[in-house]
Amino acid sequence: MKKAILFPILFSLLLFDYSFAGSEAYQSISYSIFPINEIWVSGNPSALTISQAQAGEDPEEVSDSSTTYTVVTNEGGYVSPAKPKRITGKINLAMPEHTQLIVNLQAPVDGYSEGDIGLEENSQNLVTGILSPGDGLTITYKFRATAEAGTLSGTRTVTFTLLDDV
Amino acid sequence: MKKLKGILLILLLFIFCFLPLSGFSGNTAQQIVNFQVMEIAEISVSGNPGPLEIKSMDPSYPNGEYDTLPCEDASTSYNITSNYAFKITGELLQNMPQGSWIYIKLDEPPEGYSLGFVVLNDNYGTKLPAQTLLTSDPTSATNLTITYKFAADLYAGAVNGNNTVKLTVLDLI
Repeated sequence: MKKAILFPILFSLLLFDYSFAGSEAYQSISYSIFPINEIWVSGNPSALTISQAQAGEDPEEVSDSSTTYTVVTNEGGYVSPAKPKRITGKINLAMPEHTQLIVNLQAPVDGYSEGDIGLEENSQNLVTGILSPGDGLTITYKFRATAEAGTLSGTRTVTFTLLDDV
Repeated sequence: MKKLKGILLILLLFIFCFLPLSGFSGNTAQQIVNFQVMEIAEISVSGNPGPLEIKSMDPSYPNGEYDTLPCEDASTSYNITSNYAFKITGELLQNMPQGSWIYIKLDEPPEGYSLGFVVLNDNYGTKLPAQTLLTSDPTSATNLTITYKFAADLYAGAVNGNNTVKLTVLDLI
Protein backbone atom coordinates (compact mmCIF):
# COMPACT_ATOMS: atom_id res chain seq x y z
CA MET A 1 0.00 0.00 0.00
CA LYS A 2 2.82 2.34 0.91
CA LYS A 3 4.61 1.49 -2.35
CA ALA A 4 1.49 2.30 -4.29
CA ILE A 5 1.48 5.79 -2.79
CA LEU A 6 5.23 6.39 -2.98
CA PHE A 7 5.70 5.35 -6.61
CA PRO A 8 3.69 8.15 -8.25
CA ILE A 9 5.30 10.71 -5.95
CA LEU A 10 8.83 9.55 -6.79
CA PHE A 11 7.95 9.27 -10.48
CA SER A 12 6.65 12.81 -10.60
CA LEU A 13 9.79 14.06 -8.84
CA LEU A 14 11.97 12.36 -11.45
CA LEU A 15 9.81 13.56 -14.29
CA PHE A 16 9.98 17.22 -13.35
CA ASP A 17 13.57 17.16 -12.18
CA TYR A 18 14.61 20.62 -11.02
CA SER A 19 12.23 22.72 -13.05
CA PHE A 20 8.82 23.73 -11.84
CA ALA A 21 6.24 26.38 -12.51
CA GLY A 22 5.82 29.36 -10.23
CA SER A 23 7.13 32.85 -9.84
CA GLU A 24 10.58 31.29 -9.45
CA ALA A 25 12.37 28.72 -11.55
CA TYR A 26 15.76 27.12 -11.02
CA GLN A 27 18.42 25.79 -13.37
CA SER A 28 21.51 23.91 -12.34
CA ILE A 29 24.63 24.77 -14.31
CA SER A 30 27.97 22.99 -14.39
CA TYR A 31 31.12 24.73 -15.55
CA SER A 32 34.71 23.75 -16.29
CA ILE A 33 37.84 25.56 -17.30
CA PHE A 34 40.32 23.11 -18.72
CA PRO A 35 44.07 23.51 -18.13
CA ILE A 36 45.34 25.87 -20.84
CA ASN A 37 49.08 26.02 -21.51
CA GLU A 38 50.19 27.55 -24.78
CA ILE A 39 53.26 29.16 -26.32
CA TRP A 40 53.60 30.90 -29.66
CA VAL A 41 56.13 33.10 -31.43
CA SER A 42 55.80 36.26 -33.49
CA GLY A 43 57.62 34.90 -36.52
CA ASN A 44 61.12 33.96 -37.69
CA PRO A 45 64.25 35.93 -36.93
CA SER A 46 66.34 37.58 -39.58
CA ALA A 47 69.27 35.66 -41.07
CA LEU A 48 72.24 35.51 -38.72
CA THR A 49 75.20 36.34 -40.91
CA ILE A 50 78.75 36.57 -39.66
CA SER A 51 80.82 38.79 -41.87
CA GLN A 52 83.36 40.60 -39.73
CA ALA A 53 86.35 39.80 -37.64
CA GLN A 54 89.21 41.62 -35.92
CA ALA A 55 92.56 40.53 -37.21
CA GLY A 56 93.94 37.75 -35.05
CA GLU A 57 90.57 36.96 -33.46
CA ASP A 58 87.60 34.75 -34.24
CA PRO A 59 84.80 36.26 -36.34
CA GLU A 60 82.47 38.53 -34.48
CA GLU A 61 79.29 37.08 -33.01
CA VAL A 62 76.01 38.31 -34.45
CA SER A 63 72.65 38.50 -32.72
CA ASP A 64 68.98 39.03 -33.43
CA SER A 65 66.26 40.20 -31.02
CA SER A 66 63.56 40.93 -33.56
CA THR A 67 61.13 38.22 -32.48
CA THR A 68 59.04 37.64 -29.39
CA TYR A 69 57.07 34.88 -27.79
CA THR A 70 53.89 34.67 -25.74
CA VAL A 71 53.35 32.13 -23.02
CA VAL A 72 50.04 31.53 -21.25
CA THR A 73 49.05 29.27 -18.43
CA ASN A 74 46.00 29.16 -16.20
CA GLU A 75 47.67 26.86 -13.72
CA GLY A 76 49.62 29.59 -11.95
CA GLY A 77 47.99 28.96 -8.62
CA TYR A 78 45.69 31.95 -8.40
CA VAL A 79 42.83 29.74 -7.29
CA SER A 80 44.02 26.15 -7.20
CA PRO A 81 47.48 24.81 -6.22
CA ALA A 82 50.20 26.16 -8.49
CA LYS A 83 51.67 24.01 -11.26
CA PRO A 84 54.76 25.90 -12.46
CA LYS A 85 55.76 25.52 -16.10
CA ARG A 86 59.06 25.56 -17.96
CA ILE A 87 60.06 26.20 -21.55
CA THR A 88 62.54 23.95 -23.25
CA GLY A 89 64.26 24.49 -26.58
CA LYS A 90 65.97 22.26 -29.13
CA ILE A 91 67.08 22.29 -32.78
CA ASN A 92 66.20 19.70 -35.39
CA LEU A 93 69.82 19.02 -36.38
CA ALA A 94 73.14 19.52 -34.66
CA MET A 95 75.04 22.66 -35.58
CA PRO A 96 78.13 22.42 -37.81
CA GLU A 97 81.41 21.99 -35.98
CA HIS A 98 82.94 25.17 -34.59
CA THR A 99 79.64 26.99 -34.65
CA GLN A 100 77.13 27.65 -31.94
CA LEU A 101 73.52 28.82 -32.01
CA ILE A 102 72.57 30.39 -28.71
CA VAL A 103 69.13 31.46 -27.53
CA ASN A 104 68.07 33.57 -24.59
CA LEU A 105 64.40 33.92 -23.63
CA GLN A 106 63.17 36.83 -21.56
CA ALA A 107 61.16 35.39 -18.64
CA PRO A 108 57.61 36.43 -17.73
CA VAL A 109 57.13 38.24 -14.42
CA ASP A 110 56.79 35.01 -12.45
CA GLY A 111 59.50 32.96 -14.13
CA TYR A 112 63.27 32.55 -14.32
CA SER A 113 65.37 32.78 -17.48
CA GLU A 114 68.28 30.36 -17.73
CA GLY A 115 70.16 32.96 -19.79
CA ASP A 116 72.24 32.11 -22.86
CA ILE A 117 71.81 28.47 -23.80
CA GLY A 118 73.59 26.76 -26.69
CA LEU A 119 70.96 24.89 -28.63
CA GLU A 120 71.32 21.15 -29.22
CA GLU A 121 69.23 18.33 -30.57
CA ASN A 122 68.29 17.46 -27.02
CA SER A 123 65.83 19.70 -25.19
CA GLN A 124 67.27 22.13 -22.67
CA ASN A 125 65.57 24.33 -20.15
CA LEU A 126 65.33 27.97 -21.24
CA VAL A 127 62.83 29.40 -18.74
CA THR A 128 61.70 27.73 -15.52
CA GLY A 129 59.25 28.40 -12.69
CA ILE A 130 56.63 30.03 -14.89
CA LEU A 131 53.52 30.96 -12.92
CA SER A 132 52.15 33.87 -14.91
CA PRO A 133 51.41 34.59 -18.53
CA GLY A 134 53.66 36.85 -20.54
CA ASP A 135 53.19 38.58 -23.87
CA GLY A 136 55.77 40.07 -26.23
CA LEU A 137 58.74 38.54 -24.43
CA THR A 138 62.00 38.92 -26.32
CA ILE A 139 63.79 36.01 -27.98
CA THR A 140 67.46 36.73 -28.56
CA TYR A 141 69.57 34.56 -30.87
CA LYS A 142 73.32 34.67 -31.07
CA PHE A 143 75.40 32.93 -33.68
CA ARG A 144 79.06 32.23 -33.03
CA ALA A 145 81.66 30.65 -35.24
CA THR A 146 85.39 30.21 -34.95
CA ALA A 147 87.74 30.63 -37.90
CA GLU A 148 87.96 26.83 -38.12
CA ALA A 149 84.28 26.68 -39.13
CA GLY A 150 85.20 28.03 -42.55
CA THR A 151 82.41 29.31 -44.74
CA LEU A 152 79.04 27.65 -44.57
CA SER A 153 75.30 28.20 -44.56
CA GLY A 154 72.44 26.29 -43.04
CA THR A 155 68.98 26.37 -41.55
CA ARG A 156 67.76 25.03 -38.26
CA THR A 157 64.29 24.76 -36.81
CA VAL A 158 64.06 25.68 -33.15
CA THR A 159 61.27 24.06 -31.16
CA PHE A 160 60.08 25.63 -27.93
CA THR A 161 57.96 23.45 -25.67
CA LEU A 162 55.93 24.41 -22.60
CA LEU A 163 55.96 21.68 -19.95
CA ASP A 164 55.23 21.11 -16.28
CA ASP A 165 58.24 22.25 -14.26
CA VAL A 166 58.73 19.25 -12.03
CA MET B 1 -62.68 39.99 16.77
CA LYS B 2 -61.70 43.44 15.70
CA LYS B 3 -58.32 42.92 17.30
CA LEU B 4 -57.83 39.66 15.35
CA LYS B 5 -58.61 41.40 12.06
CA GLY B 6 -56.02 44.03 12.89
CA ILE B 7 -53.38 41.39 13.51
CA LEU B 8 -54.21 39.61 10.23
CA LEU B 9 -53.98 42.89 8.32
CA ILE B 10 -50.57 43.63 9.76
CA LEU B 11 -49.42 40.09 8.90
CA LEU B 12 -50.65 40.38 5.29
CA LEU B 13 -48.93 43.72 4.88
CA PHE B 14 -45.70 42.21 6.16
CA ILE B 15 -45.92 39.30 3.71
CA PHE B 16 -46.65 41.46 0.68
CA CYS B 17 -44.09 44.12 1.52
CA PHE B 18 -41.07 42.15 2.66
CA LEU B 19 -41.26 38.62 1.32
CA PRO B 20 -40.30 39.48 -2.35
CA LEU B 21 -36.98 40.83 -1.13
CA SER B 22 -35.87 37.39 -0.13
CA GLY B 23 -35.20 36.74 -3.86
CA PHE B 24 -36.34 33.22 -4.43
CA SER B 25 -39.92 33.71 -5.15
CA GLY B 26 -41.65 34.95 -8.23
CA ASN B 27 -40.48 35.18 -11.87
CA THR B 28 -37.25 37.15 -11.30
CA ALA B 29 -34.25 36.47 -9.19
CA GLN B 30 -31.20 38.52 -8.38
CA GLN B 31 -27.75 37.61 -7.10
CA ILE B 32 -24.77 39.67 -6.29
CA VAL B 33 -21.61 38.06 -7.72
CA ASN B 34 -18.16 39.17 -6.68
CA PHE B 35 -15.22 38.41 -8.95
CA GLN B 36 -11.52 39.05 -8.88
CA VAL B 37 -8.43 38.15 -10.85
CA MET B 38 -5.44 37.91 -8.61
CA GLU B 39 -1.92 38.76 -9.76
CA ILE B 40 -0.55 35.74 -11.59
CA ALA B 41 3.07 35.14 -12.49
CA GLU B 42 4.19 31.72 -13.58
CA ILE B 43 7.59 30.84 -14.95
CA SER B 44 8.98 27.42 -15.74
CA VAL B 45 12.13 26.16 -17.41
CA SER B 46 12.66 23.19 -19.69
CA GLY B 47 15.57 21.70 -17.74
CA ASN B 48 19.23 22.32 -17.11
CA PRO B 49 21.74 23.61 -19.67
CA GLY B 50 24.64 21.51 -20.90
CA PRO B 51 28.10 21.76 -19.34
CA LEU B 52 29.78 25.11 -19.89
CA GLU B 53 33.38 24.28 -20.81
CA ILE B 54 36.27 26.59 -21.61
CA LYS B 55 39.01 24.78 -23.47
CA SER B 56 41.15 27.28 -25.33
CA MET B 57 42.60 30.75 -25.41
CA ASP B 58 40.93 33.66 -27.11
CA PRO B 59 42.70 33.93 -30.50
CA SER B 60 42.97 37.68 -30.02
CA TYR B 61 44.75 37.34 -26.66
CA PRO B 62 45.94 39.61 -25.04
CA ASN B 63 43.68 42.09 -26.79
CA GLY B 64 40.40 40.20 -26.39
CA GLU B 65 37.72 40.95 -23.83
CA TYR B 66 38.73 37.83 -21.93
CA ASP B 67 41.89 35.74 -21.95
CA THR B 68 40.08 32.54 -22.83
CA LEU B 69 37.45 31.81 -25.44
CA PRO B 70 33.98 32.03 -23.82
CA CYS B 71 31.50 29.21 -24.33
CA GLU B 72 27.73 29.39 -24.69
CA ASP B 73 24.70 27.15 -24.20
CA ALA B 74 21.26 27.86 -25.66
CA SER B 75 19.73 24.43 -25.19
CA THR B 76 17.06 25.37 -22.65
CA SER B 77 13.95 27.51 -22.73
CA TYR B 78 11.36 29.04 -20.47
CA ASN B 79 7.62 29.57 -20.42
CA ILE B 80 6.09 32.68 -18.90
CA THR B 81 2.60 33.87 -18.05
CA SER B 82 1.88 37.02 -16.15
CA ASN B 83 -1.17 39.23 -15.97
CA TYR B 84 0.74 42.29 -14.84
CA ALA B 85 3.78 44.20 -16.00
CA PHE B 86 6.79 42.38 -14.66
CA LYS B 87 10.51 41.89 -14.74
CA ILE B 88 12.57 38.73 -14.49
CA THR B 89 15.69 38.71 -12.39
CA GLY B 90 18.48 36.16 -12.50
CA GLU B 91 20.55 35.21 -9.50
CA LEU B 92 23.27 32.69 -8.75
CA LEU B 93 22.88 30.85 -5.47
CA GLN B 94 26.63 30.52 -4.97
CA ASN B 95 29.68 32.62 -5.81
CA MET B 96 31.85 31.82 -8.83
CA PRO B 97 35.65 31.46 -8.92
CA GLN B 98 37.36 34.82 -9.13
CA GLY B 99 38.14 35.71 -12.72
CA SER B 100 35.17 33.86 -14.20
CA TRP B 101 31.77 35.17 -15.18
CA ILE B 102 28.36 33.65 -15.83
CA TYR B 103 26.09 35.57 -18.19
CA ILE B 104 22.44 34.92 -18.98
CA LYS B 105 20.23 36.17 -21.79
CA LEU B 106 16.48 35.61 -21.98
CA ASP B 107 14.71 35.86 -25.30
CA GLU B 108 11.88 38.33 -24.96
CA PRO B 109 8.16 37.50 -25.05
CA PRO B 110 5.65 39.79 -26.81
CA GLU B 111 5.50 43.08 -24.91
CA GLY B 112 8.88 42.29 -23.40
CA TYR B 113 12.32 43.83 -23.62
CA SER B 114 15.37 41.66 -23.07
CA LEU B 115 18.44 43.28 -21.56
CA GLY B 116 20.69 40.93 -23.56
CA PHE B 117 23.56 39.18 -21.85
CA VAL B 118 23.71 40.26 -18.22
CA VAL B 119 26.44 39.14 -15.85
CA LEU B 120 25.45 37.34 -12.67
CA ASN B 121 28.64 37.85 -10.66
CA ASP B 122 31.27 40.54 -10.21
CA ASN B 123 35.01 40.44 -10.92
CA TYR B 124 35.66 38.80 -7.57
CA GLY B 125 33.17 36.04 -8.30
CA THR B 126 30.60 37.36 -5.86
CA LYS B 127 27.05 36.64 -6.98
CA LEU B 128 25.21 39.66 -8.28
CA PRO B 129 21.42 39.54 -8.88
CA ALA B 130 20.54 41.21 -12.15
CA GLN B 131 17.48 42.18 -14.15
CA THR B 132 17.29 40.19 -17.35
CA LEU B 133 13.99 41.17 -18.92
CA LEU B 134 11.28 43.81 -18.55
CA THR B 135 7.70 43.92 -19.82
CA SER B 136 5.28 46.80 -20.04
CA ASP B 137 2.11 44.70 -20.31
CA PRO B 138 0.75 41.32 -19.32
CA THR B 139 2.00 38.59 -21.58
CA SER B 140 2.22 34.88 -22.11
CA ALA B 141 4.72 32.92 -24.19
CA THR B 142 6.36 29.52 -24.46
CA ASN B 143 9.70 28.09 -25.56
CA LEU B 144 11.68 31.29 -25.19
CA THR B 145 15.39 30.58 -25.39
CA ILE B 146 17.66 30.92 -22.38
CA THR B 147 21.31 31.48 -23.36
CA TYR B 148 24.19 31.11 -20.93
CA LYS B 149 27.71 32.37 -21.52
CA PHE B 150 30.71 31.38 -19.43
CA ALA B 151 33.85 33.52 -19.66
CA ALA B 152 37.12 33.50 -17.77
CA ASP B 153 40.58 34.98 -17.68
CA LEU B 154 43.76 33.07 -16.92
CA TYR B 155 43.58 33.97 -13.25
CA ALA B 156 40.47 31.85 -12.76
CA GLY B 157 42.72 28.83 -13.06
CA ALA B 158 41.70 25.37 -14.18
CA VAL B 159 38.55 24.69 -12.20
CA ASN B 160 35.20 22.98 -12.37
CA GLY B 161 32.07 23.31 -10.32
CA ASN B 162 28.31 23.62 -10.16
CA ASN B 163 25.99 26.48 -9.40
CA THR B 164 22.27 27.18 -9.52
CA VAL B 165 20.53 30.03 -11.26
CA LYS B 166 17.23 31.29 -9.86
CA LEU B 167 14.89 33.14 -12.21
CA THR B 168 12.31 35.24 -10.39
CA VAL B 169 9.28 37.09 -11.74
CA LEU B 170 8.73 40.36 -9.91
CA ASP B 171 6.40 43.29 -10.21
CA LEU B 172 7.94 45.83 -12.55
CA ILE B 173 7.59 48.62 -10.02
